[in-house]
Amino acid sequence: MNKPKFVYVIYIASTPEKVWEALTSPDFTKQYFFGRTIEIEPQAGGSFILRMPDGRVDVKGNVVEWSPPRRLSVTWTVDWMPEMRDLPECLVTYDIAQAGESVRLTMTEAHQWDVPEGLLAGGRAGWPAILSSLKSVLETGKPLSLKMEPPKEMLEALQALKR
Amino acid sequence: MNKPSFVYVTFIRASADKVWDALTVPEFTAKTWFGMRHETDWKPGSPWRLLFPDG
Repeated sequence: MNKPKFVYVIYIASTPEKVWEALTSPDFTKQYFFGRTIEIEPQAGGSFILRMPDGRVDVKGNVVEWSPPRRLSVTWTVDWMPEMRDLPECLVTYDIAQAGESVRLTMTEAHQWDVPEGLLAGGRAGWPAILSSLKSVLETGKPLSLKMEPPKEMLEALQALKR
Repeated sequence: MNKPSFVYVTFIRASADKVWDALTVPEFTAKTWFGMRHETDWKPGSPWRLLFPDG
């Protein structure tokens, strides 16, 4: 994998174990990940899916590292858009570290090809919303109420790839 | 100015007015800035200093 194209760091008043649970259990992810439920086999090489509320697969991949409660790494292919299904998979890694009485969560998105800037817009828009909402769930018991559409730059970049 | 070299986005369940207060009102900022104190009247062109808790 090349070097990370997107890194997001957020501090959460919680424990590493709770953050790990929030990342890996469907009851949590459906609250903060735009209604997606995670299906993940708890071991390296296991399968990984994020499923939309209507049952369609949004993202699929495989577990690369499963080290609770410190590091989770999965390969990541966006499956629901046919244009994205055939792109090289990327690697999403969550690092969880104790920071005083809080937790520092670092999300890293790494790509193995020279991914066009426009395609990165989806993650740049989505990750801050998803991880802010995860923080709210853990700290207050309630997710954020957000509305978000795929960014225009991303849709344009996908069109350009087809040409 | 050159182009930004660090940008951070976060989403907060609050009103824009509340977030503004949290950025500018000393009772709020002391909590988020590790106890440090802002010394400014927040007017454009005014000086701005960030003081350690011990002054």
